Amino acid sequence: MFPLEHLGLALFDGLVNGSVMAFIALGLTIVFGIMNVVNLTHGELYMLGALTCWLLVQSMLPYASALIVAPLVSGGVAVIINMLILQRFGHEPGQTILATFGLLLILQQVALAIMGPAPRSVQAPFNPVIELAGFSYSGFKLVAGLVSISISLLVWLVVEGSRLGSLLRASQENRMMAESLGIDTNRVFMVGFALAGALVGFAGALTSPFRQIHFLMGFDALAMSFVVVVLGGVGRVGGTITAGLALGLLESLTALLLTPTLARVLTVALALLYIVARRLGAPRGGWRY
Amino acid sequence: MLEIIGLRSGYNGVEVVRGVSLKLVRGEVLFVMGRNGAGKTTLLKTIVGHIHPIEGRIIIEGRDVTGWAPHKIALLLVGYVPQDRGVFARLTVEGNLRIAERLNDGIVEEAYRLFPELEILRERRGGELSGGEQQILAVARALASRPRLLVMDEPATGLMPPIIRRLADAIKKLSSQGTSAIIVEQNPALVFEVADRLALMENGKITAVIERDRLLENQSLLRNALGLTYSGK
Repeated sequence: MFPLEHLGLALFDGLVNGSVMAFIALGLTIVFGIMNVVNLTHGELYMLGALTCWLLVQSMLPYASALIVAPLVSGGVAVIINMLILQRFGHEPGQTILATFGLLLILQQVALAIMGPAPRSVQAPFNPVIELAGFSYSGFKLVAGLVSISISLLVWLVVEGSRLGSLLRASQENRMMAESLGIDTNRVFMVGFALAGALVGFAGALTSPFRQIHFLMGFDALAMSFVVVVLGGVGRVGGTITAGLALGLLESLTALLLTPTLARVLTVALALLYIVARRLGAPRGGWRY
Repeated sequence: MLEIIGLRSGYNGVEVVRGVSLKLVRGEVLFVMGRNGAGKTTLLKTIVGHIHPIEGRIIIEGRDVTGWAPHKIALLLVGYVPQDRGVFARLTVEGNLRIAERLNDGIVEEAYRLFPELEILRERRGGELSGGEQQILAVARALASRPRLLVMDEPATGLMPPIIRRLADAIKKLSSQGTSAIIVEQNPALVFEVADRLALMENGKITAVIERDRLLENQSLLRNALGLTYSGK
């Protein structure tokens, strides 16, 4: 059996990782969950955020600059992808999946050309060791977790309680009717893509000091984001935050007994089992939220 | 207010509206009637910009809006009630009204004033409403936006007679304030109560236009064309 302080560390680390996981999935909740656009470049926008951070730090610019520039880069790329390609398909699912998969490969190759195949890292701007009940923890990672959960809650408030959330939902549900109420739905979708891209780009820069930066890192972010979004209930920002925290905790606790890779496999398998069980147990017409 | 000149439109190259010309003056209410497939809904969808015309021009308040995006046409204060109601299932009743605030700041209060039954349902999601309640919401949203041009596709469908009477009153009031309306409707109570003119549509063309004071004497034409009779108020 493992010592009690390991359990405390696992719980704490699970919450921090879960906050980060939810934060990374937040953009996908907006684009896929609310706007119903299957954007497979989501993970690459995360990778772009991390790549931007690495490039800026390599150029001797302060880490803090990456927290401003990375969201602009990822948000800008998301807007360009939407305007030049997805908007022309009317965000039709089949063509969108095909197009964003192609873009995913292109963005990976661009990243490979820039940073090469070797994993890169970024030094944390500060990293005091914090002593907690029987274990010590990275001060930077704790701050990253707190920033992640704070921004996630703020986005939840904005999407659920503001006009923007209603505009996104209405534009997705009945685009023509929304237009007939004076809403420029192309602009609404552009704002949705910009927000989603900026959030995940920020997440990429935020997590750079404690994650390896490499050209394939987007795959994992994309897959876990889809699991988090579906587990939390598609289109529900609050559900995404809860699901991220639950998965983070589950993965961290199973890692006490298994290797990290096996813990990830078991976590995703349990999440998928839960999604299937929920689906089978749902009343006709689905759950009411 | 609204002028349609030689309009041809349809879907995927199939022409449904085949050369329609119409003119509405300020405050005029025109009903368009015809059997299923006559092209009435396609005509309205083309006016509000949901379908790009194949040929012809649409002029609203002196502006040629042919080919404009629907949101730009809506911002000329064109209120639209589609045949499928256009209620957003995931938004509450109030959310469905607030989304149109760009057209009129006081739309929520105005909608509740016109149809007080909506206020009780304000927190209910659009998808949870009955068909009749959704119809009231769709109609209220269009009327409360205080449009200059009202475009309605079968607004009385699913409504109880007392509510149809209120709908008629609301349209008449807006009309007296200068709002023009083009309405596709088969309900005789609404047509005979509100219409200034009635256009009969067949195979994508306007085949007859009847003035209000000739409506009752043309009952045999309406009965033959549409099976429509009116026994008075």
